[in-house]
Amino acid sequence: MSQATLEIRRISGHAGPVPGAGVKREYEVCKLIDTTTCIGCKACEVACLEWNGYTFSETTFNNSYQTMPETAWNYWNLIKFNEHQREDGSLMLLMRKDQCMHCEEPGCLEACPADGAIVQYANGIVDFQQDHCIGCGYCITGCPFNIPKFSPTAKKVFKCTLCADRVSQGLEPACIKACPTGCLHFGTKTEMKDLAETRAKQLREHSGFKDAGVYDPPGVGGTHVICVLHDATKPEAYGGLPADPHIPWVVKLWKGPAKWIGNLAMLGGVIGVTLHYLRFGAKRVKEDGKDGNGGRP
Amino acid sequence: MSATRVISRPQAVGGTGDRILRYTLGERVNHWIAGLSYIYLMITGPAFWSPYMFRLAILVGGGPTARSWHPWIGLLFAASVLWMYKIWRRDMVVTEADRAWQGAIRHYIRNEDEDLPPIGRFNYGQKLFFWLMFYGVILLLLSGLSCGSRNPFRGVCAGYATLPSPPHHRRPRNHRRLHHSCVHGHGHGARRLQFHHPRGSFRCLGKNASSVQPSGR
Repeated sequence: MSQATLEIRRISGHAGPVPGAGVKREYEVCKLIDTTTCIGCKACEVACLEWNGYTFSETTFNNSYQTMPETAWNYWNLIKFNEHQREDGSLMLLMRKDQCMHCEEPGCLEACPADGAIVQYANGIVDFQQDHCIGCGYCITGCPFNIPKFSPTAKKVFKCTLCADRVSQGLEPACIKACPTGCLHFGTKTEMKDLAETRAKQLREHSGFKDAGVYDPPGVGGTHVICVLHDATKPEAYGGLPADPHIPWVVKLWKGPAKWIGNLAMLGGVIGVTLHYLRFGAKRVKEDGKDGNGGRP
Repeated sequence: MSATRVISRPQAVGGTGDRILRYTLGERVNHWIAGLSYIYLMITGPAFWSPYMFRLAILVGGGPTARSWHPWIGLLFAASVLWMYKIWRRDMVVTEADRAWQGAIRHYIRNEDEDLPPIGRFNYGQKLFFWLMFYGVILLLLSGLSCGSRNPFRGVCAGYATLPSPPHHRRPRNHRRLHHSCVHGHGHGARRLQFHHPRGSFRCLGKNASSVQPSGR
């Protein structure tokens, strides 16, 4: 990705065209999570901790294989387990790797007031810059997936970086590297979308999952982490994946109409006071106090 | 304190001779608290309000410092406004005399105070501003709650949670849980938990569940 500027444009003494010249490169990356082949081994959880330098957190037992109820500021990757009862009464143990979805239209970035605390790279990765984070937590309110988490000690917010440091060096994210079943894939958005659709078609036609599909929610402009689901009509069953995620209305109100009303009110106040001063000047109280109003301003 | 001749509350009368105490010490202290905290909030609030005003936070020690103090100063300001409500509530009731003052407000705007009708302890403008601040502070408290990380309803606003319990606690009705024999913790110092169900693992699946048999049977 970062070597894009070093693509060969012209070659000296070379017969014929430049190899690869004119090829359109796609920079938008994507992670594919195939929940139908996940075995819940949590290798990705460990890989994430190891690469990002966090120690293992204490587990919480809640009658499930799940490590803890939700991701934490120092635990960005969590397999969500759900014992799902299907319409015919049979049970399915659904497993989904929960992490930042790296939305094309990120609610966290939309809500953030701090200059430069959240950036979106050209490859689609949404990354928090803790140096510029003020810890207000607006991103936590802005996220439709409940991903950013506040660290009480650092007073900053943290989340999955999609291993932006590895990806910038042409490596795949650490979780992908660790996955033993190959349920995790990494590549360009187009490739992953094709692969996901192929897999969903296979599930529909050969495995009896007639509602199998790809989770790439349009409400947030699509995501750079997409999932293959056995039943795409019920994403909530996969550990609370929202069916139609969108930037919360409170953030839209805050950043839209409320901002303009507030700005106009503030500006109007300043202009009004200034005009009043210019037209009528300051109030002068007479020395004897007999100004008819008890001397009050 | 300037001398005044109009006072609505006899208990506030103090001093000697023809001088009348217009505001008690408590009222003045409270008003100073409100004024100073409001100035702080008007520097830090707009910083969070709009990216174009974010650099205002530099005046009070930068973004992180402003963010950690702003909620507490906000509560202090709200408390002082509520205190004002407690002590001035009766004086702030809009009366018939205020209507006359309201009709003559152009004199107030033009600094022609001698042409204004007589009023009680506060004039109509002061009363209007008081009620504006009183209801305003309630809105401001809600606005601080709505966007901050402590917003208890953020999940509902965003659509990933429903009232009243978070998603990982919700289970469908008549749902039978898979009871498993043990849970492994990995890595550094994680505890190893052993859970043995009295009826044995997966024994509670029920007859309808035979189509899915988890491994380990």
